[in-house]
Amino acid sequence: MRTGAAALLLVGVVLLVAGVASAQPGPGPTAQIAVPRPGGGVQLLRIDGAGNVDAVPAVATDAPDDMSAPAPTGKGAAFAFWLFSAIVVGGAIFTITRRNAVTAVMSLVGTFIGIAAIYAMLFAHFLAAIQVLVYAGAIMVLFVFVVMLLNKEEEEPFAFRGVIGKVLSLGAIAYLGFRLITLFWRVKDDPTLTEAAWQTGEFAAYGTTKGVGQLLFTDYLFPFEAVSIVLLVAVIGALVLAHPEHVTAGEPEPEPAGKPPGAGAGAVAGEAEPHV
Amino acid sequence: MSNVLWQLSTSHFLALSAVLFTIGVAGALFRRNALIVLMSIELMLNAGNIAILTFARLHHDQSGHGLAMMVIAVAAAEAAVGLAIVVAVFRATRHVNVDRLTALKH
Repeated sequence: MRTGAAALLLVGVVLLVAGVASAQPGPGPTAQIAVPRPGGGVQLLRIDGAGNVDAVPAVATDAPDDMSAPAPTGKGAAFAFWLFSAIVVGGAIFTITRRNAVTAVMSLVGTFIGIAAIYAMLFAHFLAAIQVLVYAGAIMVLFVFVVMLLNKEEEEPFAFRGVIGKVLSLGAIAYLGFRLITLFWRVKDDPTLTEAAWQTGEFAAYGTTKGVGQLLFTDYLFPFEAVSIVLLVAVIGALVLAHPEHVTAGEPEPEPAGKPPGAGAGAVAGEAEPHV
Repeated sequence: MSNVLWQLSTSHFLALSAVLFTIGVAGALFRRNALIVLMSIELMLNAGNIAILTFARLHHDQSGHGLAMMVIAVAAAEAAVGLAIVVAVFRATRHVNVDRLTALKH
């Protein structure tokens, strides 16, 4: 099963690299403005990670731009979507069914990389990069460290005690999702709005670092700064929570005497530790 | 049927988001390991992010990208604090089984 997770991860990395390699050459809508007609071909080529790119430019000359469509067009984009969706859903199912926590973390990394590819298909290039850096990089490293700290086999990994209520609630959630899908399945873009807006070049920087950065540092400056406070509080809170004892300033960290970290200390340690 | 397969729409991304969220709920409900429960919460947050970005694309409104950025930052903070709590609980009780953590039950 670990080889399966590794293969999943490898496939995700290879696909992401292929997608980025084909995505990088054109800044997209910016080049589209300068050269309107051939730029449509570039735009479609960027999404297409499947390889059948020859048929696309002829179609793309008709469409003003791929941005004017509510979703990426073309069979290559559809193929890429189904591929990355399979990676995302398969990795997620793998995550919640594996008994070994390390395997779960590795498949979760594959899931996050697939989600980054989905972000890139939604023209959120900056957030795709952030997804890989923050989620697949930082958060998953944190998970791996904690799994290494307390790697212990579970005797019963699945909780089937209140199974009826859980199945009912899960069915309710799935039904809600189904109803939402059927509700949104008829969601259509407003073509007049997007066409007119596109002509002015307003969305040239959509989803790029420049566009998101301008948004974050003008309209969303206060939430952006508030997030830094949240992160600071989280860092301090994590330190306070995970620290073994309350250490006063200037004092070296007291080594817990007579408390070996192994077996036999469970009851004693449970009483000595402050309750969480 | 082939139209659904080969012609992408906004609904495809929303459906993927709903499926991912359901998988996350299932993991949070059926697993006992607190680490796996935290991972399922991350899955749910990502499903929400996909929906946010899909609607941002639908309306050509970049504000959704700012919101998704906030969600990622808050998810990072949540993961840090959650994992610290898991470590502290493990240090106190030598297990991370969420069904056996009944100290607040009366």
